Amino acid sequence: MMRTISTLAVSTFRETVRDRIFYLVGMFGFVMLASTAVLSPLTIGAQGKIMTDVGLAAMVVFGMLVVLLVGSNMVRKEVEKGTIVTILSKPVGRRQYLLGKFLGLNLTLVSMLGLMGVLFMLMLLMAPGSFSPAYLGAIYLTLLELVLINAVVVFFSTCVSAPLAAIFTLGTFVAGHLSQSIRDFGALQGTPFQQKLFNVIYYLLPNLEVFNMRGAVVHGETIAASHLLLATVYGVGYAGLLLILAGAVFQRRALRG
Amino acid sequence: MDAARMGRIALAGILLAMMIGSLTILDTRATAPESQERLYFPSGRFLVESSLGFREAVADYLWFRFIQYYGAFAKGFNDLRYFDLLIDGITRLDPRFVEAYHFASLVAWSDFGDFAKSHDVLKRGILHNPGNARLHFAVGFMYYVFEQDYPRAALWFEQAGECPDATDRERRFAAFARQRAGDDTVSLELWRTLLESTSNPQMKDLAVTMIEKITRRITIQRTYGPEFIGPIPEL
Repeated sequence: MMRTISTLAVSTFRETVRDRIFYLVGMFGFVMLASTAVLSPLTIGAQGKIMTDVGLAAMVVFGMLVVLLVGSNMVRKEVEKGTIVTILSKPVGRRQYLLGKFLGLNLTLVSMLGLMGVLFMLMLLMAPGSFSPAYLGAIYLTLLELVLINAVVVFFSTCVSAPLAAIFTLGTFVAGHLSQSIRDFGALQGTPFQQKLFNVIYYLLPNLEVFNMRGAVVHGETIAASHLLLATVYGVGYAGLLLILAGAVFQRRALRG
Repeated sequence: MDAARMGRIALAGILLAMMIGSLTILDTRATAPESQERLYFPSGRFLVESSLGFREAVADYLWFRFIQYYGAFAKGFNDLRYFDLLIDGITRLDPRFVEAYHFASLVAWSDFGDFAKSHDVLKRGILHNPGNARLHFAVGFMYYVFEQDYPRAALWFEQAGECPDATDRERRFAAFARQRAGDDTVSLELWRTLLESTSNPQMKDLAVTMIEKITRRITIQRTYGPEFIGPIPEL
């Protein structure tokens, strides 16, 4: 079973490489260079901070682009082309297929963030006083956030069309960064029922702020090991649940050859 | 080259000229003062919610806008009516953006001539960055230079000197301010602390000289009384 999943994952990864997804890493390098060379004269003493902010934010943006553009289309493309029937006619379960696709895209994200991380660190090493090993923690949390969003897009791509999956995933990303406000808003409601309702919504939505430690590390804070551990547990747990749900939905889908 | 291809190239050239020409005319119509004044800056609270996970990056973007806005003001293109809104936005998005508080306090004092506003900005910065020596130092510096309130300046410099990121500069200024305020005993103590804590040889020399000078003055005042005026005699 593991071999089947890993074969699917590797083939998904190769597919994204063929789609020239890694051009985005080049764009990231360009953004970093631009933030160093062009923006530096305008920063008035905040060059290191701004370079780091731009670099860490760009990783999320480019990662989201990959998840939305590739992830939303990943399953749908094979369903529409009919190639999925060929794959599933072999001893490959539908859940294994989804898991393979999910892991394949994660492999792409890991490679992309790894390359971006190296570029980012190199640029920071060139700007004196900007480098900190704590940034590795922030990059790791960014990866976790993208893995979770990847699970969201895989889930939606099993139920709706590719453009809708991308829109719903983007919506989840927005709501995920506002989930704390949703909870606070609920606390202001008059009746206990409303308060409970908002609390349920809070737990249903992913709290993506858990993975946002970019501001803290930029200002010299380190990320506690306990936070990294808990965020990992949360991210893996949430993504796992979504994959189980996606598997259940995908099991019931009628596929045409 | 066939006629059809030539035609396509000519059409592309015409379209390019139309595009550049129209944009150039539009650019000359929108003058800098109008474009700056027409800017709409949403409130800081709204920005915090709407920036999602990119609060610091949005703060940086607003910081660039602020610098351009201030640059346009310096050239006489606009006033600073959005100053408070912009600074509020930047510092709410990134409460630890020390440079923003620092620069804003200078603008508040130098361009608005408003010491209280300048002080408020710095105090807000200190509230969010209690361990930042630079912000404490800036308050002390304002009392020292602009208000000539040396005892209060010395207090702020001393607080700056106690911050984890303090350098010799804060302690040196604290000692000077105490001396300026006529508080020789405290000043002497501060110079001694600086002498023990600094690794800078020039700073050590300065501290030794100042300790000698103040000790001599204290001894003279004890010998001849506090009313003594005139050149300090050699002891």
